[in-house]
Amino acid sequence: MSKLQEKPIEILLVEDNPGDVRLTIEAFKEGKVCNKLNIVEDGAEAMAYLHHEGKYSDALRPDLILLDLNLPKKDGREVLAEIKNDLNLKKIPVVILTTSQAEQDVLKSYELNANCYVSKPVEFNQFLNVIKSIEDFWLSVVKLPSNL
Amino acid sequence: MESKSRYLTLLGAYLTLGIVFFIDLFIPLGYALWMFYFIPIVFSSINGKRKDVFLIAIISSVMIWGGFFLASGGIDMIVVVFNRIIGLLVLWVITILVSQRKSIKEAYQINEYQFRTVFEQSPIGKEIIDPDGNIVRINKAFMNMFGIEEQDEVYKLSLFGNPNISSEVLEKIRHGISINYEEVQFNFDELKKNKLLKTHRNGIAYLHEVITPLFDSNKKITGYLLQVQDITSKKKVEMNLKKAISDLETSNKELERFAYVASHDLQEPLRMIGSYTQLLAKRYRGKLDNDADDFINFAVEGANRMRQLINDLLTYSRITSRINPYILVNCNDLMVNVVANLSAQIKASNAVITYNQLPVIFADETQIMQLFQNLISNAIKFRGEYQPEICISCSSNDIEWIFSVKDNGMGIESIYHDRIFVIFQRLNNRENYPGTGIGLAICKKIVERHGGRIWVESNLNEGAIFYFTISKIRE
Repeated sequence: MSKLQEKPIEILLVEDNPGDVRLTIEAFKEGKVCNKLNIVEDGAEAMAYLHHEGKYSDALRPDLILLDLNLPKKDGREVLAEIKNDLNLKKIPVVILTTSQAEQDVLKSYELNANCYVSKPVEFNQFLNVIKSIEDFWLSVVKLPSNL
Repeated sequence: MESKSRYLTLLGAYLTLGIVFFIDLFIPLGYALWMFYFIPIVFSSINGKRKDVFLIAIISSVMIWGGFFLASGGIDMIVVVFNRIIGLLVLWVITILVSQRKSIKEAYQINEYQFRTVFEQSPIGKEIIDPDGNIVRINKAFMNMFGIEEQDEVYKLSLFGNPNISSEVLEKIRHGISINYEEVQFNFDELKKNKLLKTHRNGIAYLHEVITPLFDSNKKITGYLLQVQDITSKKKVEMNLKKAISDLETSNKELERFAYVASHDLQEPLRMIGSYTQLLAKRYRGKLDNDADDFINFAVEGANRMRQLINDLLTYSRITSRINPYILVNCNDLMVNVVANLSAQIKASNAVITYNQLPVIFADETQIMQLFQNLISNAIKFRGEYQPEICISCSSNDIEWIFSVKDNGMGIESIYHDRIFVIFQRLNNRENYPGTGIGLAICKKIVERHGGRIWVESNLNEGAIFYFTISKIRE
């Protein structure tokens, strides 16, 4: 891991499929930028994490959120709406990362102010490339807001 | 019998004619002689024909004039002539009037017979109804249709009291408008229950009724003609057909949903298998023994093939489920896109694609593009030793366009010419000729959707020509 930054970028991954979680972790391991991947498994946990509730009282605010749409308990779309309506949370870039390619999902996500929508490729190497692209774009190309 | 009464009449007529003549001979009749001579005329008109009446009139005339010569004198000649002439005149006037009446009567009788035959012998049920709606007359077909044995039973049914005909229609009829009333639902059980009809028919029948008002010369309604046909069997066939179509549509939708759900839900576990085996391959290739490498490769390739199969199945099932409306498709412009889509494959194999002037057809653009793409891609894939040359052309007749895709590739043995269009059938090994074997099955389905057929002419090592037709008949 080459360190382009001193402090690792905090990424919150909201994903219920453990297989996909591990794949994402492995893919991010190969990334250029120093990052720390935090995982939550459903929408309710995601909101708890973001509000520093319960076991997440020590959690750091993420610099980037990777959000799946189809989640148990609280649906990804609801989470997205809540984040983008919250004064403190709305500035965190949210990347929708999902298997769905449905037009209405894409539209709805952008309407709720998702920063971008990425459809998970079925083929593994393509998936790796996509994760690398996300990491490359959002963590080195793009400027993220500093946390105050 | 008609002729018997005719001869009796004529006998009587000639008899009276003879009597009158004799009277005239011995007692010359004055101007009143026409009164006597018209008796035979009237007699003959009772049951005789027109020609009989005229014959009697002619004989009477001769006798009247003959009587003039034969009669004894004594009276003023001029008076006698005058009387005879008056007599003749009146005789002929009466004759003409009588014969006219006769011919009218004859014409009426012919007409009446024609009408009765038309009415009675018609295979369509007919009813004559009086202005109040009561039934006056029915024909045999009507009785059979309504299962009536005795004519009087039906006279209780009134047109205006018929519950099966709407009041608006009845109003129109009262105003002299002809009605073509389809699909009257006739409930036999109801009518029997309300004692309006005695019939051996049960249940509900569907009738096609035409009601026409009958007018006199003053445009006043003198009654109605009702004609009725039993279309119950036709209706039953229609309803069965509608149900069959509806069932098929439901079944189709379910199948589509099933195909989609199956392939969609299969994607996720497949992704796990595929991704992790590839991760294994990546992370541990060379670090485990050779057997492990082989096992991993087989697993990875298996997962890839399954993914391709699922995608192909989805494409295949969508050909009839995702229906785009037909539009005018310029095949020349289409070919430009097809060549562009296959550019990588074309470049890699150095293939040459040529096409003659292709027509504009009425079709589903996406599917036709898929069709051409599959055929051309196959032609390149199954090439022989030479540089692939692929030629597309088209001819047409009244009912269809006939396209051909000709290549100089490895050809297909004739025993396989049918098998290749079957889903997932392959003829070659997988390493050198990748693919699931669904390309031609998709082509066949697309062609059939467009009302056409597809076939191949080919021999081993002699290239192949794939022909397919697209129907010109728009449904």
